Amino acid sequence: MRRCRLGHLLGRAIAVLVFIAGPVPVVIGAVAQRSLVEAVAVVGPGVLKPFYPPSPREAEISVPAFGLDRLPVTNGDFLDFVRAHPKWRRDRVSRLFADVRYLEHWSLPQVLGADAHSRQPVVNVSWFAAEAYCEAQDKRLPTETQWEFAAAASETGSDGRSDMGWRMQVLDWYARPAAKVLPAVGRRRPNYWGVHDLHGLIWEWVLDFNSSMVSEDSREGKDEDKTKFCGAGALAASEKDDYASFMRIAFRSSLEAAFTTSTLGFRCATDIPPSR
Amino acid sequence: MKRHLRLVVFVLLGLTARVVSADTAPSIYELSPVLTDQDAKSMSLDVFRGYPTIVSMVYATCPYTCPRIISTIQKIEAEVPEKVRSRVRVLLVSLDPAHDTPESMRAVLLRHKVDVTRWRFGLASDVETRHLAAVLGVKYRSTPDGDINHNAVFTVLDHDGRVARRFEGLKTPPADVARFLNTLVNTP
Repeated sequence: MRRCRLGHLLGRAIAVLVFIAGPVPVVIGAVAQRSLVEAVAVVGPGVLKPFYPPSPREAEISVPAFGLDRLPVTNGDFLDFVRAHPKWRRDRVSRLFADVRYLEHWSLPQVLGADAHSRQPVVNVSWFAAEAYCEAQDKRLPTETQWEFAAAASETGSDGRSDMGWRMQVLDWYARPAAKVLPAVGRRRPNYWGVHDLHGLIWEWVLDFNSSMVSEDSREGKDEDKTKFCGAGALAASEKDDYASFMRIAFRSSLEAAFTTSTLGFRCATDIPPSR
Repeated sequence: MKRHLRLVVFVLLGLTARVVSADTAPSIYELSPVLTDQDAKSMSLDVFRGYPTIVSMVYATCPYTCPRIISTIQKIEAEVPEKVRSRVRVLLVSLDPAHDTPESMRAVLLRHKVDVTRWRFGLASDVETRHLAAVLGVKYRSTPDGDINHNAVFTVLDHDGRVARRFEGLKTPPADVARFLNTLVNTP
C-alpha cells in the first residue's frame, strides 16, 4: 500500500517536472538553431567586377545571394571535426589529401596544446581537408567569385573599392608581415554583409582555386607559352592599382590541393541563404 | 654493451623506416571516383593497376588544346617499342561531365584512331572531376560561351597509381617521355 502511494507520488513528481522542464530542450534547440543561423551571413545579391576578367564577357559577374560563414573556421571548430572524422587526423590522413605540415601547430593529433588557441583561425589545412570540413556541415567552400564579392565590401557599402580610405587600410594589412601569434577570429568590425576577417588575418581557400588563369610569370610581359593554355590568353587586370587582389590571385594560383601553409585557412559557404 | 648495441640498431631501423615511408608517394586510386567510360560502363581507377598510365583531362567539344594533347600522347606511344606500348594505358577524364556523353567521348577516340584496347575516356561527377583535377594539376574554368579554359598537362602514373611525373605544356619531346615510360614499364 505504502509502496503504491510512493509510486503515485513519484509518478506525479515526474509528471510535474516533465511539464516544467519539457519546453527547455525545445528552447535550447531553438537557441542553438538561431546561433547556427547567426553564424552565417547572407551576402548579395550583387555584381562583381573581377580583378582579372577571365574573358571580355565576364567583366561583370552577377552574384546571387548566398550564405557565408561570418568567421573563419577556428582551431576549436576543426578539432571537433577531426575527432568526429578520424581519417583527417594528421597521423592518419593520406598524403594525397594533405602534405606533411598538416596541422603541425597542434601539439598532438587531437590536442591543440599551448601554441594553438581554440579561437584562432585554423591554418595548416589543405584544400581537401577544408572541403571535407565544409561537406560535413552540408556546406562547401565559397567560389572565388563569391569570396571576392564578399571581400569587396567595406564596413559601410557592398563595394568598397571606390573608397580609397578602405583600400589603403586593406593594402596596409597585406603589407604587414604575418603576426607571430595569430589573433582570435572576430576581433575586428564586420563588413557591410556582417562578415569578419576577410582581410588582415589569413589567406583563405576557395572551391575553384585552380581556376585562376594567370600563366607562370605574367610580370615579364613576353609572349605567354600559348601551348599551356586553352582559350583566352591575355588577361588584363581591371584595376591596376588593386594590388591586394593581385596578391590573392597570384597566391591562389601557386597552390596545389594538398598544400598547407601557416597563414592559409578557410571558411564555408552555402547556396541556400538562411532566412533573414 | 649489448644493450646499447640493440638500442642503436633499433634507432637506426626506426630512422630508416621513416625515410622509406616518406619516399612512397600516395596513389591517386585513393580518390576512388566512379567513372563511366566511353562504352557507358562503370569503371574504377583500379583497372589500371599494374600498368603505367598516362592521364589527362579533356572534353569532347574542345577546339584546340585537347586535340593537341591527344596527338601528343599518340606521338609518345609511337616512340615506345610495341612490347612496352602494350603495357601502357591511357586515361582521359572529362572536364565537362555536364555535357560529355559516352557517345561523344567514343567519337573523339574514333576520330583520333586511338587503340581503344588501351585508351579509356571517363566521366565522373562534378565533385570528383574537381578532385581529380586537383591531384593532376589541371586548372580549368568554364566560360559563358560554353568553352572550358584549361591548361595542357598530362601525368604519368606508375603501376600503383602514384604520380611518377607530371608534364606541363606540350613541349617535352615525345622521345624523352617515351624513354621515361620505358623505365617505368621495366621497373617491377
